[in-house]
Amino acid sequence: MAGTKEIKNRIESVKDTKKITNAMYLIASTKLRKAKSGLERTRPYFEALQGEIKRIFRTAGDVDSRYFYPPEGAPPLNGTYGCLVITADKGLAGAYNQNVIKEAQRMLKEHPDTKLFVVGEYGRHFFAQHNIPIERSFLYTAQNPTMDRAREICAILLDGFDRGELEKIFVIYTDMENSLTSSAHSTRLLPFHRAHFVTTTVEKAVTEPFEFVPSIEAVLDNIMESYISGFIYSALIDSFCSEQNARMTAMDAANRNAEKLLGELSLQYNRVRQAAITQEITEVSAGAKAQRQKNSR
Amino acid sequence: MNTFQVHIFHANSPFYEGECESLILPTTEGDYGILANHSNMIAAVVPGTMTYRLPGQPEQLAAVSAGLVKVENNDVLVLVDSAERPEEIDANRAERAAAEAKEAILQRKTVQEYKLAQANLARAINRLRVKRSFHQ
Repeated sequence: MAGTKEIKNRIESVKDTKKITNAMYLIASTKLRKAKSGLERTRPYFEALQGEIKRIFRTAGDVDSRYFYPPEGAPPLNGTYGCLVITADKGLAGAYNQNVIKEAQRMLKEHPDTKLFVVGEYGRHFFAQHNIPIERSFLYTAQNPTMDRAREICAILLDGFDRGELEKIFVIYTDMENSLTSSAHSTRLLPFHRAHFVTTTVEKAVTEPFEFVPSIEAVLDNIMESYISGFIYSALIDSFCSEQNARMTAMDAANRNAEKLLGELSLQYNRVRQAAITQEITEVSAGAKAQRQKNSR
Repeated sequence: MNTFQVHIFHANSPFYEGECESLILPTTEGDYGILANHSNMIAAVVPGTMTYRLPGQPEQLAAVSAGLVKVENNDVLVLVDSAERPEEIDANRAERAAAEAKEAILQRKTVQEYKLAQANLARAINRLRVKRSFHQ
């Protein structure tokens, strides 16, 4: 059995670790609150934009744009894919990073000719360590998602798409479904699937045809970029929210584990201490008894 | 004067929602004015100055970037990447951004960086223009 000193040291170290995890929990929860309010504020814009593109597309179903998936019967696209992988800058967030990376690896397996665009230090590090080439990595964007950053990423991806280097563009990000569950998704950003826009029928029906100024193609071309940068922006924010949430849950679990460990250790410590005291008393009383017997003789 | 409902959203937050008397937006075809009972239409918005007048208030300006505007049954929806009121614009920051963008253009890097710098310059100059007209 370990001595009191060792147990005491152990208790101290567990306490110190708990202080750190507790601080991280608090930081993650404030960051989460901030990120969540950001997400709430960008939602109306993004939902309206998505709805409008859907409706434009419906009014003019035969519009031909390079952003749309070739109609049925055309040869399938099998060129190089581009994939934007959104990870965190730091670990200690439960399975958050692993889930994203697993999704990316699954994708690489299915289609080896994929160029990776990585957001976040963790992902960059992981792919570098496993000798998986990265086309481009964006540093320090996972921490602080801004529209400018999203625009920059969008410009790089769109440029590759426009020049025909990338046939399809995917985004792998983590979606926070509610405050408890979040899951890694891979979504195709470009080209758009015609059905993707047409199927959902919740929005208002078009009663009167719209007049397009100057033309449908010009309008679509102009808003496509905002749509993609908007999508990337909301994916960044969504991922950031999930990251903080994952970290919060992980740190909460760590706190609880530390609590349990401390309970067990202090029990053990008290037992050892008690045993030591009992032994000492036994020794003292045995010694005294021996003395008494010697004197009475 | 007749009014119409307007919803102006930009990427970070809703900008304005409510009644409006007149709205002028920069489009690919030049400035486009919208009054009440405008016919249904959709147009592409380019970076520039948006002018709007709310009931009982003088005309106000805002710097907007690319997006779209939709008019449907007297209900106007403006979706832009960013929309800023003059008082929200930091002139020093915009000037700095403009200088940086000009420098980046001069450096003649890749096409894609050039395009990005050009877009940044357009945004910065547009901000400055709105800010200056606000002070006069």
